[in-house]
Amino acid sequence: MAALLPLIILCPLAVAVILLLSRGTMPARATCGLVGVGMGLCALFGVIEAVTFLNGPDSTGALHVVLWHWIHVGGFDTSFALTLDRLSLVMMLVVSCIGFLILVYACSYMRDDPDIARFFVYMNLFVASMLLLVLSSDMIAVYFGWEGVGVCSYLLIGFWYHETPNANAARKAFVVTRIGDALFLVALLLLATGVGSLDFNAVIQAAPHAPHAAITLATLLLLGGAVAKSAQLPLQTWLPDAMAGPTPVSALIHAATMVTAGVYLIARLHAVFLLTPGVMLLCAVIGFVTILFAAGSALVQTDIKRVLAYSTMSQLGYMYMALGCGAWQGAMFHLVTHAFFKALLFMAAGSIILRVHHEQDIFKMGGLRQEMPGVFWAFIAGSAALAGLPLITAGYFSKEMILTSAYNVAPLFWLGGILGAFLTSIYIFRCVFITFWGEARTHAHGRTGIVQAVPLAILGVLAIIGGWMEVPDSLGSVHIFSNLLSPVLGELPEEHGGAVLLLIGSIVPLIGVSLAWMLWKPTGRAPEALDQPLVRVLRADWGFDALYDVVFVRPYLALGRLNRNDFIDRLYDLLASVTQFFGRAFGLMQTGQVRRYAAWIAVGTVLALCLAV
Amino acid sequence: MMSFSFLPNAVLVLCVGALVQMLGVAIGRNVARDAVIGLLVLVASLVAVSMPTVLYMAGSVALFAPDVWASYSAVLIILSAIAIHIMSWRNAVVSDATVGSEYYLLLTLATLGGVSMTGAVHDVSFFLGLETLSLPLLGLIAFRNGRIDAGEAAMKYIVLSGVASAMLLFGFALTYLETGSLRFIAPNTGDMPEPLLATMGTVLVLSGMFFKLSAVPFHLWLADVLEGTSIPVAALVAVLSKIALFAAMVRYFASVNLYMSGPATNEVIAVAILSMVGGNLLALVQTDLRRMLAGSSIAHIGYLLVAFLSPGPLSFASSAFYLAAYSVSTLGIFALMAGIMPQGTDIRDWHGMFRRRPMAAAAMSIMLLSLAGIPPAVGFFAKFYIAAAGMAGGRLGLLLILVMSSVIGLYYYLRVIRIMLMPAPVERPEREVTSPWFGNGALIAVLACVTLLFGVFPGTLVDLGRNLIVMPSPPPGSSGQP
Repeated sequence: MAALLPLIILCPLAVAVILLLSRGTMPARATCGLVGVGMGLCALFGVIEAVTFLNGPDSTGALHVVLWHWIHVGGFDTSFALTLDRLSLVMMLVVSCIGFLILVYACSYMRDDPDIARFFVYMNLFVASMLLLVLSSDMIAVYFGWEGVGVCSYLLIGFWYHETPNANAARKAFVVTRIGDALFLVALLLLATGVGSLDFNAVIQAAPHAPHAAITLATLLLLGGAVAKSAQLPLQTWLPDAMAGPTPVSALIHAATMVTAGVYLIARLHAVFLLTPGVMLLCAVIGFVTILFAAGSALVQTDIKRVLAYSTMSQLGYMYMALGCGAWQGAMFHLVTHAFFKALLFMAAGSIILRVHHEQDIFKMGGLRQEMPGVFWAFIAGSAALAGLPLITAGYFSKEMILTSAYNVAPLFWLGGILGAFLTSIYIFRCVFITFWGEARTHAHGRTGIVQAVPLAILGVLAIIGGWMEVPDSLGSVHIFSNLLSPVLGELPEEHGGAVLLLIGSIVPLIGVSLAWMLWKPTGRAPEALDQPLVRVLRADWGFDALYDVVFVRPYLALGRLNRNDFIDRLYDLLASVTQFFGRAFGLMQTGQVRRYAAWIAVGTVLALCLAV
Repeated sequence: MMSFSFLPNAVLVLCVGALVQMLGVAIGRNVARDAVIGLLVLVASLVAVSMPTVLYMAGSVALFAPDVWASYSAVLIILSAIAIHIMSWRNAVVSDATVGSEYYLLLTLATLGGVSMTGAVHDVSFFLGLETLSLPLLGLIAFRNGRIDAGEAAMKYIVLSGVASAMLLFGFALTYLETGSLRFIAPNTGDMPEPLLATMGTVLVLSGMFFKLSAVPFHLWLADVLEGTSIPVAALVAVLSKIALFAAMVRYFASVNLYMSGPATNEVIAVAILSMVGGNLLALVQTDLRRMLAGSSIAHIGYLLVAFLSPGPLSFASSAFYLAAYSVSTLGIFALMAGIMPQGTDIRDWHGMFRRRPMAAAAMSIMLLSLAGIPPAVGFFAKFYIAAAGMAGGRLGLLLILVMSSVIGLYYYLRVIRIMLMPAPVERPEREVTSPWFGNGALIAVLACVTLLFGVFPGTLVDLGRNLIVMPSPPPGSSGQP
């Protein structure tokens, strides 16, 4: 059903345009209704499209929809076209369906905000851009979507821009991701000049014949772009601050979709990355370092959303490690399950925050188990999946898939992954025990309404059972997910040493949870956040912010101050005043006296005669 | 050898029409009637351009060339004259019952002069056309009776125009001395016993024409004249006479290889550079809209000369296109001035125009953008076309100057738009704004639409210009067209 494909993008875009044109005059209920219908249609079309595609004749191939030929000049050819294959199908379903759930949740979350229309303009624009990013068959349109999600992220982080820290956080996110965007753009230009097209297929086909250095450079730059978008080391500093935005934004953009755009891009171009083992190794190392780095920071955070932000970073590290190890299916699988449980965690956290008067410090919560049991169970489900508790959670299966592949490439990666899993289970259950057990240090008010509860329930179920579509051979051998993706990403490699690794991977999170219980079980007195110097450094992003502040920000600002008078502008001012001067000087010829005018005619003629003779 | 000469239809119609108008004035004065007759004569001449020639004369001397270039320029001139005719109506001076009738007569005569020049291939027909254009123009410039600056402008024009005509005639005489021919064409100096005389003749003819075109350094009269006279006549000076002169100049140089660096080519290059830079610099510091347009007009002549200097398939096509684009936009601005604020020619009078008259301000902006060469107005494409011609002709240096001086132009065109967007300053009383009469309003709308439409779909005009590639034909020698 080729006709449906553009409609999937157009639905959220149309909602955004309508809301934009209404200029905030639409009542909140009507806004929510419109968003619900628009996103509902988007998700519905996505599901219908997926079902018909998979039952259709080229279910293993790709569906191309060329909307129009865009640029055709000087050997460079690009058209505006959408492609649906099994990889983009997975992404499309994640974006449209999880996007639908989160936007429904947001209707309730943002109900009392006077700027709700503006919020949904940005959110719908984001969904449309993200869908364009994953569905486009040409990297120019991908870049369009890439920048679109970046702008929406900026606008939404700074949604409550009246408070300076929010605006600063938005700016930080924009500037840091811009570094990656610039690298991405350079990569695209490199490919465009080398290949003469930015069509994915053309690039993949041309890559093996290109000079190795050029391909290495291009993949390196693409990796740089992806790393910034996904908040991996060393461009990770923006993500924790990005939590300044409304919580549904964190759920949708900074957990489930936008930050995984880089993963999708690398998976989409995996044939090119396979040609450059060095870049793949770098990718794996970046993921490996980020897992441990972010988990370390998450251990000591006091803000519930920052705990989740660091865990996102850490989980994305798993995906990058998987990509670097060539475990494309593992990365995509973890992307999907992570979208389930991290969106769930953020939304549950959002519900908590709403009920406790916008308090985000976990040390000021406590004992919320009795007051909000529904949210508690949702959070438990998400935490269990994040920690990867064996067999019963989605996170377990996707993480094990990655760890097994990593072990086959280098046992060190596997060891780092296991250590990361251990830390993950400690920090997330630290958060659970402090927030939900012990004495109530705050009072929850109101109720979590049905509009919030339903998305939480759906995602809670998915976070638990979503992993059973891919079960390793030693446990039962279900391969629905990898079979789905194998036409695009290749067959799953043979597993080695499965059972022992699985056993270790199953036990470690349990140890972590037990340790967390021992450390933070309710003791009768309120737990307190640690405040040693080392902890402070860990909490402050391992000192990265301070480092960047000294190395980049301050010199840059100093340079700016030095050039306050903009010496380059002086040149243009000079140019302008010289022109003005000549204009006035030239005007002096206009004396209004006829004899002078006649004299000028004579002078002109005589000069012309001299020139001729 | 027996040969035929002929009279272009438009010239014939305009001659007869002028006689009819004179008759009308002799019988009894009625401004409205004479205005209608004048308009009918112009429309009739427009129709006549497309008709087959009716009047052949036996004789050995060919006076006019029957080619597409002449017809195209004539149509452009007559259309401009019609526009000027429409914007003159209800002008306070013109409506004066005691003198109003002569205004339209003079307009017809000026048009007759312009149309004669476009087809002229003989010195005599060219000179007669030129003076038939200049003398009524003098009357028109002085037409604001009781206004001392109109008289001053007319005096300046007659004196300087006399100087220029004298140089032109002297140039013709020198050429005749050397070649023994009165063909309106630059003599080929290669095969002459005394090439210096012929060269000097060419240079003098050129200087005379540059005066009428108001190219730098022969431009000084233009700003004073435009400022002194009424707005429709200013439009006549800025548009109609320039089309006629440029068309004639192209014909005069049809025989000269402009690739070769010769005395004539050098002078044209120097004048083109001076005009582009000087016109823009002059316009830069003006506070009077008409003086600014004078500078702009000088600069546009410079741009046209670049196209003229770039021989090749695009040269005539781009000149033709540019003439049309320039005429439409400039006429539009004058029509707006005449319709909205005939007295308010100071740029500051246009403060807050977007709030007071949004439609008029929008139309004005379109015209200004077109003159500045900004898409989607037609001026962009016209300038682009000239740049293409220049590239094809290898005139890189000239193009560089064209681009740089266009940047200066951008400043003063956009300044007017900026002023129209700004609110009026409190300390300065707002000048009263009038409503244009229906015809003038329609004229403005049509010109604005044409400016935009040809800017978006330039294809039609380009195709028209392509047909002129082979034209104009060099004038026939001893044998005329059968």
